[in-house]
Amino acid sequence: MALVTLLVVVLGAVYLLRGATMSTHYETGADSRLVVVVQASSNRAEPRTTLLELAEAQVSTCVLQVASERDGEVEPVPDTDDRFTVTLRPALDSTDRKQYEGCVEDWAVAHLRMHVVSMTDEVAR
Amino acid sequence: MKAVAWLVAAATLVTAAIYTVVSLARWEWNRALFFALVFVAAEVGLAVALVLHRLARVEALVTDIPPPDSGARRALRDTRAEQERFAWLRVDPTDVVGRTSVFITLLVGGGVLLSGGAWLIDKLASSTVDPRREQRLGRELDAIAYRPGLLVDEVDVLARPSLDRDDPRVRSFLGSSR
Repeated sequence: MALVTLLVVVLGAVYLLRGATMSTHYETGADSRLVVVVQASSNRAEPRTTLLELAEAQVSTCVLQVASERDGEVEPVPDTDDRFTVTLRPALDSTDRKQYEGCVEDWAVAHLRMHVVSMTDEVAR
Repeated sequence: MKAVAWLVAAATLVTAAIYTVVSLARWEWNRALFFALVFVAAEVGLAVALVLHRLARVEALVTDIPPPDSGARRALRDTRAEQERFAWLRVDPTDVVGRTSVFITLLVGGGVLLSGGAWLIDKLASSTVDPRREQRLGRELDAIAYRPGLLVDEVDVLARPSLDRDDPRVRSFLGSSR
């Protein structure tokens, strides 16, 4: 009985994990844009390396994993020291959003931890 | 202490597994790899500890089991001739004549010990008494010894065919005896 329960739990977990990680892409429109605000913090980073440079490296690397491009520079959010914003065009579909958020919050660049604060769809200009 | 180690290892295993799944679900591949590595390390550690634990139990069981008694060995033991050691020391309380076994042994042993003691005493005495006795005898003989030149050696006198009057010692003897 316990073995059957364990088997059911494992198979259920695999099914849910498959659904959570499986890519399902769709068109979001060529002119659509996504504004991503991230919060960054560094620990024991190189003295000459700024937090902006680290954040820029991370978000730029993660852009390569999704079907989008960076639109403009990575800019600090006014009145904050650790928040930065980056605009992606076209906007990301739901799978790419999860993938991009996971990449940004992953341990990709040493001495840097990032957290996605918000992802906002922006109306085309 | 062992229970704490087991608990920590199991907790590490479960936590690493949960974080691996959560990281995979969040598309955080590097984190997932790291937690998977921790999971595998904890799993290997637990497996090794479990195997060692089982081996220790089996070893304890094997140690407690007496060695098998083979048929050949049992037959050899059963057909082995009785060998009574130190039988001569056994004394029959009813046998008065045969009671001399131990006495003879003690007698011989005592004789050896006495001989050794006597030899030792003789050695000590010879090295201490004889020199003093010889010294005393020498002093006594010196006291009664003739003066040098007073007597003719009898060997010389008898060895000569006739009395040699030219011998100053003979002349001295004859002259002093006249």
